[in-house]
Amino acid sequence: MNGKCFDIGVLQTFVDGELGSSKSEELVRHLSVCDDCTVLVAELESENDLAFSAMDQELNVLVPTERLRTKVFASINEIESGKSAGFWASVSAALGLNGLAARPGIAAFAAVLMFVAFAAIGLKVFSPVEPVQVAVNPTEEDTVEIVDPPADPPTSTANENIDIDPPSRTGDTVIPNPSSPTSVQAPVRAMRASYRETPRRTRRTPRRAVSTTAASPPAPSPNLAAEDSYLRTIATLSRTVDENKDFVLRPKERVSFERDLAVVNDAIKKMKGEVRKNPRNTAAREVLRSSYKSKIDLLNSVAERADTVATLD
Amino acid sequence: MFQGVKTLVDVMSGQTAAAQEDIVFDEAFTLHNRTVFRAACAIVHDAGLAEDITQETFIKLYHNMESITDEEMLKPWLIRVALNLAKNTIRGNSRANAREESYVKLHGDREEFTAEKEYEQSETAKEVNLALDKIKEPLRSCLILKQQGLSYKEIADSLSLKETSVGTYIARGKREFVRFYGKIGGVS
Repeated sequence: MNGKCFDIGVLQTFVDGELGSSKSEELVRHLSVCDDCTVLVAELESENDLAFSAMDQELNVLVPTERLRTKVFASINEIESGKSAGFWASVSAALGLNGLAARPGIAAFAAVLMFVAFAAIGLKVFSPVEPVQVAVNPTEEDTVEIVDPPADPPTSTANENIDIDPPSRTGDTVIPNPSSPTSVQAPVRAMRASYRETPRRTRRTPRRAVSTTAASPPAPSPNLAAEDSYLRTIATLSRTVDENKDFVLRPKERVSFERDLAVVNDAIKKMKGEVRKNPRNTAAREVLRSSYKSKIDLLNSVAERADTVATLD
Repeated sequence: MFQGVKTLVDVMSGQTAAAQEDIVFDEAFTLHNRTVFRAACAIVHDAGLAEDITQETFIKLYHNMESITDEEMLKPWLIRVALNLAKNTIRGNSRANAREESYVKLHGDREEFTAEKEYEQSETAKEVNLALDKIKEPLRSCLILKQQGLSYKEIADSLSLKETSVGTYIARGKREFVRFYGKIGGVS
């Protein structure tokens, strides 16, 4: 040993490939002249092999990702439903509707009114042909004034504009327009409708995906969709794994990986057969689904290691 | 009324931001649920408990999405929360199972809890877990996180350590592990 020997921590950092390039060069130069440090590095490497291969076997357990996802998003759903109650409370506060809660009769009437309004808005939003007809009817009564607007681009937002525009023109003439009584509240309702459209869709997509894949639906059609997504994931993962397994897995691990994969593939094959024979066999479907999940987890474990190796390089 | 409309707009813009957060949250879950689960499982040695810890960790993340502005800190944050929860769970378990603990003390070496016995079947698993349990913190966490493929920086951020000390902790932890694991006792 000489005075310039490196600390065990630095040697470990070197072994783990985390030492900066200049420090690494310095260390390599030192190793060429220092037997003690060279022996220590060799020991650290063999300890790495032993400790991490033992830990890999036991700590890289299969992760029940889908079950976890279901649980986490179910809890968040609960939190969200609490929040959305708060949201509507603040909306009603903003509109000064707090007093309604004290009078149940009026509240019920308001609820019916809102339901009808929502239904009307829903009809307009989802059937773009109808609003054009609605817009045309008043034009017949109003003569030429509103005949001009159709020259504007007939986009979906035009529907709302047509609803909102007439009241501003009612200063000149009295229009017997059936939409005018609700037109004051129309902007607010339209905003609500558009708000409910966008966030709900973005939020619900993962949850729906969860419930279709994990909550064991009895209907055959969602199951097929889930199977597609499983197969797609498996195909992508298989590609990554096939590219990397030769240098990521040690021979012993490779053998156990191939064996596990063969077992899972066999299970999938058998269960597919069962499900084809009898599509209503829910137990077989359940086993098929969990076999797919196991396969994804198994492939994931190798793919993750490939990622790690790639980042270390 | 203007005040009311302003409040309404505020509430709605808040909700849209929340929708974006949901997407980020979904990604975070997809990317990190395995590491979180396995790190927790390495401490508590029980898949059921590890599931609960993972769930709680991500719910905490959901509540704290705004506070994590640096994307690099997301994984260390999750790991830190999960490890703390795991350690608290172990502590809680040991308090709740006072009788079992006194039994363990009577019999000298730390035996696993009954739940562990049900879960762990192979002798190797017992040896690995027992060896890990004997390693002091932060050596044990460093070792587990290194095994889970975290970089030194991520380990340092997760455990609030200096990055330069991580190598030393891993070397020492690994040496203890090897000694306890009992495969190569003679290595100095």
